[in-house]
Amino acid sequence: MKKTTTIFREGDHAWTVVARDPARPDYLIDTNEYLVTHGGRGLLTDPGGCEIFAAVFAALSNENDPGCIEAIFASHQDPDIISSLALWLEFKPQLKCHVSWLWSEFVPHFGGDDQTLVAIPDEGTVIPLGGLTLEAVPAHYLHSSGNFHLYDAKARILFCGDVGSALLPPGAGLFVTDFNSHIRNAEGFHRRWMGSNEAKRDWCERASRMDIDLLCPQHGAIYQGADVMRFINWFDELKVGVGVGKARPQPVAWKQAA
Amino acid sequence: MNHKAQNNVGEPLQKVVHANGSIRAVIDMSRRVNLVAINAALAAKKAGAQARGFGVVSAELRHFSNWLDQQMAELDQLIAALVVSLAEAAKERRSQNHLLDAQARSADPQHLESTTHRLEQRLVEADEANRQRWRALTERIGQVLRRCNTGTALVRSAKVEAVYGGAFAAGLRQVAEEIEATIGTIQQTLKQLSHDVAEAQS
Repeated sequence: MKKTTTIFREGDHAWTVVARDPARPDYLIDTNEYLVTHGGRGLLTDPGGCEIFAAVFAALSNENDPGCIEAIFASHQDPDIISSLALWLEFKPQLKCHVSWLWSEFVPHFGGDDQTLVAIPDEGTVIPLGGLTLEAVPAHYLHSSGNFHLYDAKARILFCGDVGSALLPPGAGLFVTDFNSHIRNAEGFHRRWMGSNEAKRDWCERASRMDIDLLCPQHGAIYQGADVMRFINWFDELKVGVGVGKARPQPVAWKQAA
Repeated sequence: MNHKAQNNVGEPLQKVVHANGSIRAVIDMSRRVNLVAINAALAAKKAGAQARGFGVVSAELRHFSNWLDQQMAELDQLIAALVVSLAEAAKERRSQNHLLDAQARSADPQHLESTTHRLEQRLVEADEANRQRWRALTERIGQVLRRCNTGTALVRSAKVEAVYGGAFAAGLRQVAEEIEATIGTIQQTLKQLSHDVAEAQS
């Protein structure tokens, strides 16, 4: 089962990460889901694909009441991000799903309808959660053409979707402890999946102005403290959109078929 | 098809989440019993020879709360397994709904017959496995409830022994009453849980 870890708590305001599933099959990419709670109300970021719904749901049930989740934030439209939406709606039909307006007619192919989806405009928006204000921060073309990150100014946490992601070996820790060795696992991913140097520069400028203690990607490990700015500087220098053949080793099943 | 128009495949999940909440509440209360029982043992020690009987009973109460903790941990594991299998079943049932919908709209429904049959078989097996898990949960809750009567009896003895506590009698009685109230709440929560679990199976 996936493991839950509380990475921030101040009174009834908390961030909990659901990560590292030892039972995950090799052919599925590992994902991190983050539950933001404030005043007993919850928002879940990138809840993942339907194949991992049971693992995420069970892990959350172990520590929290999943019934508190009133909204889902989908950084973009990929299946590993939001294809479990229909199952979350089975559990709680009144859930709202915040996603870029660009995908508001695509995501319902995974589930939900016009009552479920809340379209985020290109310039971003604020998302209220039980007295807390979260910000949907534009991160277009990183890697999806309609892409958002989620910033919690009070907790100083930026959920950064695929930016900062790394494809780590089994048993890797939840936090980055050695930036230089960690970033080698992130380089190919960023070169291939991030499509625009201009968008990347725009994001780096925006992120460098934010007060961030924890930079929380959807895959891999969390950056904390000085590693946050180290990552922003590293990403700013990286030439992206040029990573064909360098992203990751091919999945085992493809290798066997070849 | 609109998700709201389908059978509520998420309903069993809602029920198990509710039951999980009750189990967590009992875990918290059983820890409180343990803490108060430690205080009771300390109070008895302070009271000396006069409260020897109270000391013996409070030690038994600690054994009881440790046992309760262990039972709750096992109930927690049972329910965690149930959450996973019900979530998996919800996924399968949703797929089945889509297939049945496609079959109903198809000009030749036979094309999908073997697929829907296969899925139906899997669901029957999953439902049976889940029924067994619910039954195991019911039995275990029943066992814990019966043993809770021991806790009630111990508290009664503690109240009797408190009377012989001399100058400490009032304090000892207060500790015993606190444990009594907590065990009473645990029993009520377990009875409600037993009722909820029985209802979830029906």
